[in-house]
Amino acid sequence: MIEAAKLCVVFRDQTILDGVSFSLRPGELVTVLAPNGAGKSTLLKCLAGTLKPQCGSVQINARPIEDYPIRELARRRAVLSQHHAVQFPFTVLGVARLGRYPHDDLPDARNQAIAEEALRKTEVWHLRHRLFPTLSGGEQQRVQLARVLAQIWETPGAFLLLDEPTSALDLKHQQRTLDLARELAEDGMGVLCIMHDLNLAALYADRVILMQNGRIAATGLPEEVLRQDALESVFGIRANVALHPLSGRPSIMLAMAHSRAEFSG
Amino acid sequence: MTAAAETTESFSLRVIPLPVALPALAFLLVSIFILAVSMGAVKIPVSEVLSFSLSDQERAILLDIRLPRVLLAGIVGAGLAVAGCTLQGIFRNPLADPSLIGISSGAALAAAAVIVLAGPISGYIGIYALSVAAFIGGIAACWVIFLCAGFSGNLSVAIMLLAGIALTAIAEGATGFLSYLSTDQQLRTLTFWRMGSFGGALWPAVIVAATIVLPCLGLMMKEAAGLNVLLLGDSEACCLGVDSDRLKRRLVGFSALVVGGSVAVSGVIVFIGLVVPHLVRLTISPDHRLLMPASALLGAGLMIAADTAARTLAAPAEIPVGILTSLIGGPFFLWLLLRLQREGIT
Amino acid sequence: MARYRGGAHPPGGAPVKRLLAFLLLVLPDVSFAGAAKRIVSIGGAQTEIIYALGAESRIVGVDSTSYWPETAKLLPQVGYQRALSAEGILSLEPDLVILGVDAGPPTVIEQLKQANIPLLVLQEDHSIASVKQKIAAIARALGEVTKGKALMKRLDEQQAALDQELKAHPAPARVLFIMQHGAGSAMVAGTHTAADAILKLAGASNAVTAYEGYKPLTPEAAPALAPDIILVTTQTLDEIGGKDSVLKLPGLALTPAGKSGRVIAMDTLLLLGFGPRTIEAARELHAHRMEKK
Repeated sequence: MIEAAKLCVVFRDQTILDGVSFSLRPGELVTVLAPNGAGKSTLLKCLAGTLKPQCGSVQINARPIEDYPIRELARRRAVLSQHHAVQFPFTVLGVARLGRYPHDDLPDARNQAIAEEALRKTEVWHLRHRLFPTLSGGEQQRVQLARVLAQIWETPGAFLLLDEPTSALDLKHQQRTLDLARELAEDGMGVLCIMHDLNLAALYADRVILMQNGRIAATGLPEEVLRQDALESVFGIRANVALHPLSGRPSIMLAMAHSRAEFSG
Repeated sequence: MTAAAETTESFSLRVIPLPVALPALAFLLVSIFILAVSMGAVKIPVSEVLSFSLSDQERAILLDIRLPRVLLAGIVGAGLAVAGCTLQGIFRNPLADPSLIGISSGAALAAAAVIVLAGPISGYIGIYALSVAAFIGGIAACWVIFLCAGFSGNLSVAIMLLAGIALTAIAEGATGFLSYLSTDQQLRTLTFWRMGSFGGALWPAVIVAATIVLPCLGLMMKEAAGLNVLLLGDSEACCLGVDSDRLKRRLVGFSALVVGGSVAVSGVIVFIGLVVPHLVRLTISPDHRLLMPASALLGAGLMIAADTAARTLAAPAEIPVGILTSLIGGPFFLWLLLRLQREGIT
Repeated sequence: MARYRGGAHPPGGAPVKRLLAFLLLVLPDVSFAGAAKRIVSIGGAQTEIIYALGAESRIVGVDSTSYWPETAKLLPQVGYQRALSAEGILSLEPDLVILGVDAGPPTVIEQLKQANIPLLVLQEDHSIASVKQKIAAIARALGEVTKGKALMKRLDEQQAALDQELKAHPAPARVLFIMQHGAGSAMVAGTHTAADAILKLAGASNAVTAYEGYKPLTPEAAPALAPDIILVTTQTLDEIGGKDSVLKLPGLALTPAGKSGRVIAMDTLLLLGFGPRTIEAARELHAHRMEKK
């Protein structure tokens, strides 16, 4: 389990995280929803151990994250950031293969096979000999996801932290990616997913966390958290919340935000 | 590699199958080496070189003049090429080159300061002193570039080249000031040195260069896998178990040592560190585990070839090799810049 | 008379002296009278001396500063005297390399020594005495001692004629020597330079006495130096683009020389080479100085 307690991060006199406490258990898919600048990515960096909070603590399986050797940590948790660019002409397979860096004690052939498997999972295996910089944004995102999957392949109880993994994807691949995230959670992985699409979050998440101004505004089951008043106060949107006819999960329908009269007034 | 067949993209020429790449380059280097040793103003046929049936005069030329020179060119070429690979990886920028971003200038300035302010120091101590000074100058230049990039940030081509221009200008100015202070004799040494040449290669220079450059090459190549991961980004590399700050510091240190050692024995030789890694990436692989040894072999080969041209084209006079590498490397660099511009990778 | 470089030397001069002393110590004693049959001559003065001794047929290679007499240009070139190539020289299979202390780079000289090539390194202090020393050393190495003595005698005669001419016209003129190579700013000769020495030989005085060696031309200082004549080499004249352009260099128009338009141009090797034609050069300079007064 990843447990964060009372995290605060201040950067240039600006409070980014303000006493955030949070946990992610193996076997669950948790989504973090928040407006821009609420501190989502910073929270993810703290959980990943790449950013040290000014106060508070992060523990993985009851052991402080800073006590882990960097390599052991790399075998236990993988992070997909929003940064996908690679300046050099690596092939797709070459990029996925980088995910096996913490496992270089395994035979090369084995690591190669895992990288290929991961590429199949994110449906980019057919591109494996293409040069990464020549792919479209969405393809690059899926290759990076495969690289991250390869990092914690067949590691039960590992954690996967995804920062907007669907931002560049078309609808079909958004769906496939979240299907994959669910599948990984059901196989025993703890998956945290930052995203903007409320409906996808509602549909797939075991738990939803709403963040606002560096604090957690609400946390719980999707139907507990994604309510009309909460959406209005956190996101400033007008929306109707209905129940999804098949899943029974909340389904958010945006209303037109302002009438013309309000707009000009 | 079957990639070649499937890839139609503009910048893949991966025509050399990976398993034969290193042996092929090694064979190329050995061939160039033998040719270079047998070529020169004095004709010594390859067959005589290989059977070592030489007159005393030929033996003297071979052992005292040509061999140290060819070896020095090889060591410096390999060193600059691998330093180029490393800097390009650290800065995630395919245009990083020790001479373009001012590291060579910084190294040259520090060494010039030693020549002018400390006076001539002969023998091994002199060359080592120059190397250490050049190393310190190179490190200082790297530090400035890191400041410009923000230590953990990516370095954009624009910032990098601007920093390089600024550093080169500062180093030029300071070297100019030093030459104002220097005596006629020192001035000549400075000029000879700014152009880059292997003209005066003696065994001590070869030994100093070998003891500084070769161990660093080994240590840099050990970090090849980490350098690959670093290309993903600093925090991505951290998440994959690479201590990126520590790795960068180590690699920059080794690069500066290699550049310093090279500059101390041969002056500033431009563009090898840019051209060689790029050719290897284009034709073999961007994977540093292959890229670095392949660049070392190709760098050594190209440098020996360039130096052989420098000393034979105008024989019995000679052209400074730095001028030759500029003439070839300059247009190559422009082509690369235009291509990157077109593809929007700036 | 030109004086030795010794006396007071510049702050950075000591290392050079040490290097010179070092070279003198390690150089093989050249006592192979008459042995040299294949000579590489580095330095215009050295080549001129060999020609003057009538031994030019023994020269197998020269450097780029050896451009007089005209036929010297046809000999194989070993490059600029300060950027020599050891192997290039060796490829000419010389049994003697004659060079000035300026020749280099030092490591190339070192390589030549390692290859057991006899070197005759000639000192230079820009004086007639050192010209004679050069002649004597080269004549000895070539086995042309008699011709060497005749050449020195001729120098003495020329010297006597020059002394006569100088006595007849003792009026000393202040001369500013300017040199320009390439794009840099024009350089002005101070004391302890070949230009300074030849001016004194020719009975003129160098307008610059405040510094040693060459320094860039300072436009504001030029009028204060008040030269009566601007002296340049023909190479510099071509570089700048004629006498009028010389006078247009910043600051020069305000000098007496600028106002009277007096610019003298002479060949670099003749003027500054300190070879066998040096007294000729001094006489020519003196003659120029006297004309259209």
